[in-house]
Amino acid sequence: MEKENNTPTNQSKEELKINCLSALNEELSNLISKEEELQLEKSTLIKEKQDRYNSITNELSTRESDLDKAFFNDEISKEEYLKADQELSKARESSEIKTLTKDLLTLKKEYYYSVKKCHETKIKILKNEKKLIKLNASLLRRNDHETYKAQKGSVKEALLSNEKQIESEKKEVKTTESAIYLTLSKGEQFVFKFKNFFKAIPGKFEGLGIAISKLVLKIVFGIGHFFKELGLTFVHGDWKTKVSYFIMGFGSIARGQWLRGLVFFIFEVVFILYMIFFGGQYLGKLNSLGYYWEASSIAEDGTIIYGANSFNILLYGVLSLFFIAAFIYTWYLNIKQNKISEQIIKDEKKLEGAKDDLRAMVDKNFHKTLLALPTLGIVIFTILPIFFMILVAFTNYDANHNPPLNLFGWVGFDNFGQLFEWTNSGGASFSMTFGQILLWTLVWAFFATFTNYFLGMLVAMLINKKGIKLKKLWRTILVFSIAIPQFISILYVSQMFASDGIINNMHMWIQQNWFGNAEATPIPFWENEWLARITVIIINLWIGVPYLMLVVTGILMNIPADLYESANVDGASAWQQYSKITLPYMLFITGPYLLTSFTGNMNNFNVIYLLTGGGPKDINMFGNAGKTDLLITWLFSLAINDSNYKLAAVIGIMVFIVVAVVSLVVYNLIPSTKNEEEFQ
Amino acid sequence: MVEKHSMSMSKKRTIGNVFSYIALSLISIIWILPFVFLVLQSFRCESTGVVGYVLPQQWGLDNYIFLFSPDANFLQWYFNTFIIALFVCVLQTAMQFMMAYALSRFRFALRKPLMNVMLVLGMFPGFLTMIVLYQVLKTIGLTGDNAVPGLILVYVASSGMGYYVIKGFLDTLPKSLDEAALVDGATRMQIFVKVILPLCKPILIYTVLTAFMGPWGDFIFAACIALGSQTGMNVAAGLNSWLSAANISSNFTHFCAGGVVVAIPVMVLFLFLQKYYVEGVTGGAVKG
Repeated sequence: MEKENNTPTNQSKEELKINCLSALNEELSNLISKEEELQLEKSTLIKEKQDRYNSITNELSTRESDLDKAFFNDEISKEEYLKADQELSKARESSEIKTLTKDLLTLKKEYYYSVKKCHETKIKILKNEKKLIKLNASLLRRNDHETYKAQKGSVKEALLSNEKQIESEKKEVKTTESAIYLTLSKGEQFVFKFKNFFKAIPGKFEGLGIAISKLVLKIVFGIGHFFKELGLTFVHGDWKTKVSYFIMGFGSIARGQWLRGLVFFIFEVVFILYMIFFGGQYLGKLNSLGYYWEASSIAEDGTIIYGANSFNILLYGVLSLFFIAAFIYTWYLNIKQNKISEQIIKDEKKLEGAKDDLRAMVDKNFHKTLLALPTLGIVIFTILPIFFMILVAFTNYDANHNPPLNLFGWVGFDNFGQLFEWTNSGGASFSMTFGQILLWTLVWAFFATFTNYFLGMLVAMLINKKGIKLKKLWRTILVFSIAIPQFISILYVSQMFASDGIINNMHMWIQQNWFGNAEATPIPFWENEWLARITVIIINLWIGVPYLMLVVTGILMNIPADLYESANVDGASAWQQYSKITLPYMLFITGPYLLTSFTGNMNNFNVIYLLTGGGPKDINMFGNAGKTDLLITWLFSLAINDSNYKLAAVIGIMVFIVVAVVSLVVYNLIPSTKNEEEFQ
Repeated sequence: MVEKHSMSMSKKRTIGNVFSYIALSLISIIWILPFVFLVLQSFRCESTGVVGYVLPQQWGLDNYIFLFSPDANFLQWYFNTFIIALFVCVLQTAMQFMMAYALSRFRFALRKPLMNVMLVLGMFPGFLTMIVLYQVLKTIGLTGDNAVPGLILVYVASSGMGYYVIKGFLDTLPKSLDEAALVDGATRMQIFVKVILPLCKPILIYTVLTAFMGPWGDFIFAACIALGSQTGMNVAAGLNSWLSAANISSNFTHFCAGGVVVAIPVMVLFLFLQKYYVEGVTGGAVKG
């Protein structure tokens, strides 16, 4: 009963939809035809203007060549020639030509925008058509199943061709966009790129979402496959294989591959011993990180009774988790090995013995031999600690919860919540300080990178200038400062700028003896907030410029010399040559380098720590932070001086996020291989 | 007219060059002056604290004599650092070459993920690992007085992540070299050792040089792992401790002398191998 009731309304709904879509498509088609009319108008206009432009420039060219001819045949005097030449160049810059070029550009821009709109509308129409095809097909299926079956193939084809059309239209949109890009001025080009980047973000998230869901599916299917294979191998395998499920490497040893088998077996033994005597106890307490009554205590006679230690529980618990993952993987390999060996025996081929294994280690599998040690080092000395510290950000590990006498435990996202608490408790809120320091970190990274870059380039160009002698000497003097360990030079320079340092002493002497100013006070290089910031950036020049000079010199020599020669012939000034040839080339080549040095400067611990130690300190900032503190130096002082590990971990994670975001955004904005043509 | 033009050009050039020479001389002075000051201060005998003048009133070798006397632990620190630098420059170079060669010459399933993981790990600030590493080393007993092997371990263990420059260089070596040797029946290890490594001399020297220089300047990890032990410290951490507020008035000139003694070997090495360093730096920067 219900079904009968539903069908007609459903049908009418679908028909309604079909009608709607058809109407919409008609309207859209109208829009396209209107746009096309507009385009026609525009293109005739463009043609007219282009013709006019061409005729003017052609006329000027013929006049010029006539003039040259006349001059060479001595028909006119030099003065007359120069005068006429001047007039000609004036005519070239006449207002008419200028307006013409401008109009042409705007017209072209409008034209291409309209073309883009057309293509986009077409995509909409095509998408609607796709829906229409599907709707019609479902209608047909319900009403007339036989015809539907017969037409199924053609529907599929229609859908496919529709898909293809959409793809080609999308390509058209892309080419039109690059055409638009060429008509834009430099500033507009940047804005265009910027806009496109942010427009593309939702698409990228969509892509990411799809990638993640694919990954999840892959993992789920992979796990399914994993268990299926395990089961099948167990059922179909011989007794050696079955024993290998419990004693790793047994099958391999039994079949004569004793080296592989032995490695598997030893790994299993080590794993079991580790779990029983070391890892297991920590793993069990990982959920609580030890309860407070389990903590160490001091007995009446002063000896320490050791109890649970949250730090060790977390560290070795995580290590055990790593170990378990490695064990499961090896166990799987061991079983797979059995399966492969069985297959080889069945095919009556020869199994690889210990000798072959050893040879593979230096030949076919040499990369595994090479990578084993470095990766193991990275896992234990970088991944494990970073993993640990990320977890610490979710605990309350600080001076009041410092093992062994006090334990710490999980607190969830509480520490991250502090980043967004804007209530000011006692003048020093974590979030305010974090914001201030983050801002200064970005400002510092920007100035440190670009001042170094441009001054380094300037010095390199000075040294490489034609006619400058002793190039090697100048270079060596600068390189000198790279050779001396940074902590010596920076500490000394920091001392030079102190209130009782050499610079201030000279300043006072000059003030007193030259200006008769007996009440001169030292310049507060490290005491005044802004002066300290500026001084840090300037001293950073002293440290970074030699390095940049080396980098830039190498690249400067690679700029094709004929670019400069032709520029010289055209009479370009030094500044024009720099801004039109050298700078774009440099920026293009060193784009990725600039990015890495920006992120490197964000984490430039040495310079700040050795020069100012983060000072001048401000009691209004959280955790004894100073006005020149970077996130990284603040992290350091929080962890080392205040033992505030939880917030240090939070800052570390935030630094990672900022660096990752900056890298991602900049990497998408800098000219990459896509725009290589611009330099050819 | 044309002659006049070219004359003004040459005149312009000479004036430009004069300005360039002045600028370069100024730059050189600015860059060299702090070191001159440092050396001058190291010869000051009348006092050991911070003073506002440059030229010592009383010249002498007192500060250097102090450095090498048994009251100062300088010789111990210096020896520690030298040992660390020696081990690190051999082991770190080996690690980085292993990583770079495998990633440059082999194509295996986990290659891209491995490179991406290392890229992401590089975005975490290194100090995060310090607290944990200290605890780990303490468990094995490699902190305090035994900090030297501990430090070597820390420097070397994850140094594989700095493979970029070497890989950039290896990528420029033609693959036909490997293929020819493979046809001749060489194993991949033989190719690495006998064919590729001899071609890597410039980048090898660059890697060894930077690896050797690193430990001389590191004072944070060194101070953290030595944790105040005088026998376990390296020279940077030790000299840094002389500049603390409590010690600076009695040890500033000692610091200057120590700085000079530390800088000399590194500088000599550097000046001899400058060419390779410049090659490595420019190559690394261009390849990104």
